[in-house]
Amino acid sequence: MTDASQNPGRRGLRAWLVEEDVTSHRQAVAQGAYRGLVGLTSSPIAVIGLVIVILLVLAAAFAPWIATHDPYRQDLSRTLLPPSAANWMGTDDLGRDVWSRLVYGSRTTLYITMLVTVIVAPIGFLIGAVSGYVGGWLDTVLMRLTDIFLAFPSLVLALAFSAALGPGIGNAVLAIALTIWPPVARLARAETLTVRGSDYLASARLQGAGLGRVLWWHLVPICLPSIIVRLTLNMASVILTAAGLGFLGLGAQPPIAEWGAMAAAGRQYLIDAWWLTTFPGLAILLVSLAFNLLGDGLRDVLDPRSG
Amino acid sequence: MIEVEDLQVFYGEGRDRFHAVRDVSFRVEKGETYGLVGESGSGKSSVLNAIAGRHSDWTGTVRLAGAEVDPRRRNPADRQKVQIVFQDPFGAIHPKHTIGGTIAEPLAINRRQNRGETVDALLRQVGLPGRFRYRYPHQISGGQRQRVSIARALALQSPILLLDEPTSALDVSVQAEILNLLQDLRRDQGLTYLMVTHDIGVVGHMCDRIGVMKDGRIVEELTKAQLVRGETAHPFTRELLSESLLG
Amino acid sequence: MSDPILSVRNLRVTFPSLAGRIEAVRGVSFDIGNEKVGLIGESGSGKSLTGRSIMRLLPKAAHPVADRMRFDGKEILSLPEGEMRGMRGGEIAMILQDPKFSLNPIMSVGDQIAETCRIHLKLSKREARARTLHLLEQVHINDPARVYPLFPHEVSGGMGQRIMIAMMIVARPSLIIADEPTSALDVSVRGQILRILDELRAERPTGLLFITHDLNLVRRFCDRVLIMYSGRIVEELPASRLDEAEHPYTRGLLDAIPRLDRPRDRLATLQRDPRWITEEAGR
Repeated sequence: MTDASQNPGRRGLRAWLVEEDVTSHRQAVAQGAYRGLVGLTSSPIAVIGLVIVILLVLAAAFAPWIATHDPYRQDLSRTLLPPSAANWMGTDDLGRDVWSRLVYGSRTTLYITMLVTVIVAPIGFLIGAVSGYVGGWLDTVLMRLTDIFLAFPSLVLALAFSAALGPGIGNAVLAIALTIWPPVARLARAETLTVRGSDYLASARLQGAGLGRVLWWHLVPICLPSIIVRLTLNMASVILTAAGLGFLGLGAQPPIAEWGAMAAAGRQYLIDAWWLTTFPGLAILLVSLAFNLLGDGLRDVLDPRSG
Repeated sequence: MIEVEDLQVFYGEGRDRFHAVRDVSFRVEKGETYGLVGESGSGKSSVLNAIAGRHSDWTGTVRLAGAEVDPRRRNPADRQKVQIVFQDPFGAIHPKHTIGGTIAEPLAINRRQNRGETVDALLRQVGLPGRFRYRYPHQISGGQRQRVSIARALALQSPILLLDEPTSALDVSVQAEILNLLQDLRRDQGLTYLMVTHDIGVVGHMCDRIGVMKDGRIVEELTKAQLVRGETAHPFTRELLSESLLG
Repeated sequence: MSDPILSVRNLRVTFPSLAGRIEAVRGVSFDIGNEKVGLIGESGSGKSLTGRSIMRLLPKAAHPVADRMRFDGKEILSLPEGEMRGMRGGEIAMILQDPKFSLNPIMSVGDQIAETCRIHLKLSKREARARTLHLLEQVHINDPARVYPLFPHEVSGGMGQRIMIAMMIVARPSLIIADEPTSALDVSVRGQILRILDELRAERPTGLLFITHDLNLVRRFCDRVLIMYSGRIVEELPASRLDEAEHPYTRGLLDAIPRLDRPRDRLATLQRDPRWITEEAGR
């Protein structure tokens, strides 16, 4: 939608995006995106979520320019200072600027959410879709495996994994990913079952399509919207779990700025220096909420039944 | 072109095993249209699915273009002989693919060259403008979807098309256009049709010969002329005719 | 005609869309008395929306307006929702194409009819059961006691439609809106359903709006036909004189039907005239 220069003029852009007479593949894709955007922005709540998530991305991308201090530079002469003009959100017990650490912490948060998505979506889809499409004993085996993972409380499982893998943000993410793929697999299986007997899959089979083609070309477009929605809604709990692991010392290791770990570090100064826990806590709350709102909005837009 | 001998089709396993089609035999010559008529549950769609390879639990002999097919294993040559046009224009096309992508799929699966031009030619054959290839199914009408479905079935140049109630979900005016299109394609490309329907009017218009099915058997076989004159021997056919004909 | 049961004047239904507002029903007027009125049209002609407007069962985005939509002395479009709810399934009943969507999937069909009896007729549990069995018999279900405990997914399409009708007659509606009630059924079952509807109407005056795309069916079953095209009624005539229709659209539809008694090499296809969309109905 950005290449308006190649389209028939700026004024005609909207017409180009809504007209029924589609003349190129690019236009078809752009129209789909436009309809999604219009749908998403028609819900004010989803827009709030979207804006906060975009702000998060911007903060992560431009952290060096937004931060007022070096997030890692310690200054033991300026510890535990309350919020002021020089340090907008005060300083921590090592004299580091809380605002700057919060800004850099958005990178960690984004890193966690992206890594979890990249790991969980393919695993969940593959297990769910194969299970639903192939059926039979393979379905039974894969679903029982999923059940076993589902049966553990996810935080406990994540704790066990990250304890076994060793502390660190990467391992924490891996541990979280291992605990949240089962619902995604269930979802992918359910979506697959609804289209398994459809005529277009029958037609593809009659034309000789193999499993790989059916999965990639037919089932991915069917399952992807609900997986995206599910993962977006899950992001809040992922961020909270990551924060929880950080809080327990199993997530990000010092001196990396991570909101959960920051909140944990401020715990011992809760009475004297409220800003240490409050601001990271608020940031976690805000971003979790934003992902939830965005997920709700996406559900309305991407619902495959409305396509 | 199609020879079916002593076909038995089963569904289910063990005690629930259901004998859906019993001792069905018929032949369809090249360029002919053969109609299977009957009520729901008469087994007419089961016959079609068995021939298409969509259902594999059957016994008997099925020969397509002279070569016998194995119920369990279809080789690529068998697949290219026969394609289906489905009843429901909404369910037969992937909702998230463009029309062009849908028609090109059989070409891609079978690694054909020049897909872009072939898709253009196929769209022209079924009477759709070339720019439709960029549209999504929800942007076109039911009749247009059925044309897309036909274009996809034609893509591999299969000599046999199986038509599973191809117009029963369409309005009469659109039905007329699709039936005319099917007639033209058959004449121009020398196709052989096996058509399943419950509409006596459609069968009388399209088919050279008709097999009337009831409870999994063909109870009567008629030519088009016999059907039009109402020369039926079997009471069930007469009942079908009287219910379908104008009061 | 004496006082009509339903009188509709200038009904319009609009939808918002990306490209502005779309008017799907554009000024429809008709009356229904104690008769069977067929409403014919293609998909997208607005025939189902017209039927649903009478029940006030439109999609949320739809916006219906009418100069008049009077049923039993009441303006349907301005009734409070609570009163309307009592009317649906009460004085006005609707039969849809697929009964599976109208029945509760986790309740046996007998219990569903019995519940309707208890709500509408204030019967006791035992009376409701007896009444239900009687009703099932009335819609020609041979062994009501066997059908009573079945769940909706266990009954065939024709059986489901009969159950819907049985449930409907509990309240003795004076207007029935049937939206493609027999399109999914085999011809022999279709005949039975139509006969049941006729028997029902013989008991008391009932208006029937029969929405369908099947011209042959309307010709045989209905008294009067309304032909809808692109949100308007373009022609209205007695069903017995359908073959004498004058509007080119109706003529085109009639010619497009493949008929055994008139075999042709090619079917006539409809040439749509843009004027049909704008011009007023002839009569």
